[in-house]
Amino acid sequence: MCKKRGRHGFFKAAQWTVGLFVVWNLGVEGLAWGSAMTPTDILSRCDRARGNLDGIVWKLTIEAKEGERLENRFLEIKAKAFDFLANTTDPPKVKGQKLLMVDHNMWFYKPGLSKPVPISPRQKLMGGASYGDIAATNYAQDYEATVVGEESLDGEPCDVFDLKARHKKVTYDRILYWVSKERVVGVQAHYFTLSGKLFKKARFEYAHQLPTSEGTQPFISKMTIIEVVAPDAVTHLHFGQPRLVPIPAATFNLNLLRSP
Amino acid sequence: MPTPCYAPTLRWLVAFGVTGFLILANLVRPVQGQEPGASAFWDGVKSWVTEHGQLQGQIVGYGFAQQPRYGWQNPENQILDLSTSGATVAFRPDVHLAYEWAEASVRPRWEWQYRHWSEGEKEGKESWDEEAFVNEWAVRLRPLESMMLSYGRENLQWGPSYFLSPTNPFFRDNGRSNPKQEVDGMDFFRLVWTPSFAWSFSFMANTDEGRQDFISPFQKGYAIKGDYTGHRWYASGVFSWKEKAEGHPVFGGYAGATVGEGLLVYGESTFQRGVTGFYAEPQMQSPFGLALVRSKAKQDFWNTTWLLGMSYTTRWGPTGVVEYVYHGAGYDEEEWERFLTLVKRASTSLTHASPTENLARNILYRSLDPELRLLRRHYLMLQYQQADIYRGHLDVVVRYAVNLDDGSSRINPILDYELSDHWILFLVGTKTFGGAYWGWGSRGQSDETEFRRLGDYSFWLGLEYVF
Repeated sequence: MCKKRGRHGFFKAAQWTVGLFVVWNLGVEGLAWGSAMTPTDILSRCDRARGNLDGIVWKLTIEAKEGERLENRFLEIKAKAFDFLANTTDPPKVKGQKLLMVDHNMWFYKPGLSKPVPISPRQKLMGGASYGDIAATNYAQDYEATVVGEESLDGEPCDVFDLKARHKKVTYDRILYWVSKERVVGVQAHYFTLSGKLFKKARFEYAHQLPTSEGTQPFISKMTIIEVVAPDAVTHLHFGQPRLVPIPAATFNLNLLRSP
Repeated sequence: MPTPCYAPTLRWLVAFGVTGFLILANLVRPVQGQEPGASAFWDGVKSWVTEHGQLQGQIVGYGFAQQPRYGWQNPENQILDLSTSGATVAFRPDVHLAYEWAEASVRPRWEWQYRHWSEGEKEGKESWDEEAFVNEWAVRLRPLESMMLSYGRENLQWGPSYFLSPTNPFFRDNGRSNPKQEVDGMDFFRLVWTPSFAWSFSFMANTDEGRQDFISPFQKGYAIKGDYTGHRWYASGVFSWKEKAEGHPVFGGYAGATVGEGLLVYGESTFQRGVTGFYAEPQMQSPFGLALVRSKAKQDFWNTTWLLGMSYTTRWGPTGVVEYVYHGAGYDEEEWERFLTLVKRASTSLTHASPTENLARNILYRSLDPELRLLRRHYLMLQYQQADIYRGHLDVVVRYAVNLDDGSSRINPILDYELSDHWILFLVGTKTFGGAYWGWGSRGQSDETEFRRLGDYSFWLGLEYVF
């Protein structure tokens, strides 16, 4: 009996030890990434904080600074998942310009043009910002991610992901992406050309919170872009407080883009 | 030049539009000492207009200089009456109101024009014209979230191409060559159904020619259009017909894809049995031995037009566009020779004051618009465009189109320079080339080439105030 109890006790103890080890590991790791988060899961969460949501409206201010010159542009964005309609509201010289993205097809319209024209995500919006920069990211699907190191940014521990494009249809061929361990949001990105040259840097802030079924989630509030070739040129994208609203399909209908 | 229209109803519409502008511009304010109730009423109106209304527009002023050619189709400027210089000031407000399931908009226009002739029959003469009209207006209703009904005067354009949009049965001018010149609206009823984010279906009925001015009597036209948007690609099909058509219905479609981060490819095509345009055909009764007739309208062959295009945006900003067009309805060499022979005979008759003068004049008018999108068959268009150059102030588009059949070509520079948030300085130009010197396919005389037969150059230089 005793022998039996002893053996039983040993296995029990072993089970507890293994169990505790697993729980401890899960606990520690879980604080950062959640117990079973793969790089793709982490990128999915980061993507959600950059706009991949069901029906959202927000105001965007773009502030491009080059030396002494400062220029602002104000837009209203209606977005659903990766689709969006951006309407420029100010200054008057660009008022009424519209940008529509549906399933990664982009069209641009401005008053005076008879019809919208198709454009590529690479086409410049203002300063260092491309049209692709105001779209929600889909890094989880578009890039192969590997963790290549750890680094603290402003005292916040981050993992550094090396993202390599899965196909040639993405805006950037390779990205180094700093993801906050605690908040699971992308806080910095370095963008590279096909030849491996660094050409653009960006920092991200997440001051907004959005309600979700699981509580709240952070949402992007500011993106700062610096072009490597013109380091004195800085472009800030300020994202206003987002509102969750249903967006009907007709909002993204190209046939209705030009006001009557 | 057509005589300006001074219809009183249009003036009322313009007056209505301008009043709307004033309201929207918040110039309506409660009078000092008014009852508090009245003040609250005006405050309510103001806040409603601010919330639901939108006003934008331009005041455009430009001067132009052009060098017309007084060749076979416009002998001594008798047909087109082209001036050599002039100036225009145009006031173009766009007013838009939206309230829940209804939208309304109006684009009233007022234009003041000055023209000067420095050569030809009218040498030394001048003219001043003023015109007030409504170029576009529309009322849109949404009985269902996925459905939109509209009626009004509109400029309906679609398709990915720059050079021309073959699938559009209503407008041959897609407004690309001079973005400062508005395309005249026509009257349409539209029903647009958007069942999902990927699919959309439209029915369009063109009920009146509106501001357009056709040589042939206007015919009501209809089109059904289906659009699909896939992942990084899109495709549309268009089926169109005319109410009392001389020809058959037209099938067409266009498609495009985002192939890479900077690379787009697209194509557009139409198919029609026969051609409704005019061709110069031998006719014994005609004093010129030839006449312009719809000789292919009922012929039983498939006429096609197709356009292939691609655009590439570099990482540094510039975008290059290439488009090739095959226009099956265009004249082949033999048809073009007959067309020129008829035009030359009519032109000679007109300049020698013969009894066939009226007929000659009609033939020359018709020859300027034989109801073909282009006169010949093979075309190539190259375009360079770049925005925000020179410290972010300058936008440049340079478009170069070549007729590969006769070697003539046309270059269009379009430059916008932003002086401030409201002021834009612009230059829009056209310079044509063609004749003996222009190499492969080039014809001997400039007057015998498509792009150069009517003019050598035209340049607009102007200032635009946007609000």
